[in-house]
Amino acid sequence: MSTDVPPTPPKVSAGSPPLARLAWLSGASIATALTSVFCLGQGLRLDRGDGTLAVGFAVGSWIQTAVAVWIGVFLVGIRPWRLVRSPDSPGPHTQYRASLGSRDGMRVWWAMMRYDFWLEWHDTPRGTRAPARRELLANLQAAADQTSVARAVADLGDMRVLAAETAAGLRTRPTARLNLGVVVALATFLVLLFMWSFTLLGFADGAMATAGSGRASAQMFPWATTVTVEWGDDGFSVDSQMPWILGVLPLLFFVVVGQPWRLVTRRR
Amino acid sequence: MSETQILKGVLSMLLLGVLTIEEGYGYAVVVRLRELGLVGINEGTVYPALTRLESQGFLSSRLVTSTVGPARKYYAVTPAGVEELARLRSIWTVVQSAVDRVSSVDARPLEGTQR
Repeated sequence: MSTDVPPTPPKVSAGSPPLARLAWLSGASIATALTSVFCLGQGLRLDRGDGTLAVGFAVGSWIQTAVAVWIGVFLVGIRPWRLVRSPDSPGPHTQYRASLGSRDGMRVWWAMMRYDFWLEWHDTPRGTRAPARRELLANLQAAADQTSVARAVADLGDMRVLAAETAAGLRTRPTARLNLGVVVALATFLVLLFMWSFTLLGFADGAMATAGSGRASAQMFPWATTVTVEWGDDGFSVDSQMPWILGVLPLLFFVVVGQPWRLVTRRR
Repeated sequence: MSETQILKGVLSMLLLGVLTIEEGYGYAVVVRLRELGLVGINEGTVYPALTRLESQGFLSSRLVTSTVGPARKYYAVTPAGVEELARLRSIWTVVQSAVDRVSSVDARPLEGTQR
């Protein structure tokens, strides 16, 4: 029986701070979206001087293109799955995932992501999750060598239960779940942004179908803001204040899921 | 009650028993238990139990690096684990003999009914 002292686990690289990365990528993605719109010869005007947002387009469908490009660049750049998964330093554990075929690699990656997600959900700090994930990956590899990756992953059972029981065994103190909070807030913001943009376009389409030119204004549910559409032969414009729900709801989700107050209570 | 539920009750004793014989990593322990006849045991039950026993101080661990994959975490029983194993085995002996007695009492009326 060996009673060797366990060596210190390899250090985990922290990567770029999520907020700095977020800010940089937000700027880059907005710039890309604006450039793509201007390159296509469309007009875009943003006026935020009095807290209102005014967008004018010659062709309505380009706003969808701009929103899609913005979200696409944002998602590719921010890589939200990396916010959920703690960054692993390069080593045999990352090489193993890379050595698998795309299907098996995806199975392992998805299993590890779910495991990490639920570990964080059960208040396991980042520094404890990384070695737990590496241990599970080593066991998964050993099992896959005997059977198959699909069978090895299936034999782990429900990752939520596995993570919950592991977290209970680790006996860690509750910690803030900032990663989860950021991801949930981002997802909420993007969904709301899509819904809002389609609400505006739907209203504009409906208004423009009634006459050749004119002006229409209405309160849009649930955005609690007035939308005004003006249209004529040369195009249309949509004016609206930015709905407060776009900022408040993601922030609320971040606070509820991320529980940032634990950063203070944990230090005490 | 399923076999898995019964095994969960004695899992700590089984893991400490197996690891007293030889240190091992998670999947190796699962395989060893299956070879010993506990075919109903699964990975999702064993891995968290190893983590729990380690945090309780009954197991120690060391990482063994590998060139073909992630480092494996080998567990071994600590002196506190040996004491815990002895305690669990004494409890098991009492429970086992009680269950045997109840089972033998339970079998007699059945024999009488068949007559």
